[in-house]
Amino acid sequence: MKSPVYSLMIAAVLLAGCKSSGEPKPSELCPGFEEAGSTSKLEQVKVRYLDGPDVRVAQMRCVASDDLLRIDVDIINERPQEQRIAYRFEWFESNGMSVDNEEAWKPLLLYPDQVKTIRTVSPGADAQDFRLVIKR
Amino acid sequence: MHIRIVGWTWLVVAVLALGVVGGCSKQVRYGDPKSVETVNLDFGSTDLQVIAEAMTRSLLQSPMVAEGSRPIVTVQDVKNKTSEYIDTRAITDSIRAELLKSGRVRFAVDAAGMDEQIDELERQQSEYYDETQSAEIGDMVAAQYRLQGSIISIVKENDGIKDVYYKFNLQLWNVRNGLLEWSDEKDIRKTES
Repeated sequence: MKSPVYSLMIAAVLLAGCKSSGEPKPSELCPGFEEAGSTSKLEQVKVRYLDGPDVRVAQMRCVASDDLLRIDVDIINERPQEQRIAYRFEWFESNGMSVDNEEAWKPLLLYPDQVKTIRTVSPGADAQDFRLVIKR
Repeated sequence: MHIRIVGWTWLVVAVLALGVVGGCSKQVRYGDPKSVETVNLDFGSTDLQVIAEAMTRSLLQSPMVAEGSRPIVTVQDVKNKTSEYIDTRAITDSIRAELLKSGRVRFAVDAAGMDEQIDELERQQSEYYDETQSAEIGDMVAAQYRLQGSIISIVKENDGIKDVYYKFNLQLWNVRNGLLEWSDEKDIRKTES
């Protein structure tokens, strides 16, 4: 008696699994993901470290909304002490030309071992690609 | 002989003095205008740039701007409620410049620029101008929205530690119906010890 119910439940779980696996992860929506091939390689391409800050980018998420690119980046403080860093995003057009919008360096205080999410949105529709620069 | 010794002494003193003055002279270098500036606790270039950028990016995501109708905005005063002198016009100028670059907002002449605008319109009505090319009075486009804001600071000092907290608030008001359509804040804390 119970076997058809179990079969249906298993089928439902499998279908749900298939549906979720079909949707791209937020990091896969970041420009350059296809060329990079993986999340870790994407971070290698998209993030530059100056003066050796003791931080690491854990995750990067991108969403296109109203012709703008919204980006979340999780930064981990790898020190057991407070750390002060600065960061900024550099923006590029789809053809690789830099967008005429040089951002200010933004100071950021990280508590020991903190994971901090920095958020930004592109400065206009022409800014289709980006690079995150983090410096000590 | 005595005169020669005195002469040598003065020469040595002069050379030493030149060396000291040369060593103390200040060096001038160009710097990065976007770098983090921490010369003192006063409102500085980094604060201005960070506030302008945060407000611009937030405003770009607001429904009125994001829908793509390129709303017409006028910039009003940002009230300085801090205890220090801050040129708030510099902040709104930066916000306006960044919004214009985005191509998503148009700006109507604001109260500060109205006199110059009227002067130019009236000047073009004189007999010196070709009538067919002169701007006519009555064609100016009114703003649909107005931007206004304020900046406050809380300053505390104790045992050689000074803490300054700035809060910048910006609002977008609908001129026609008086509705507040968008508002956002950016806060900054700086500590000197």
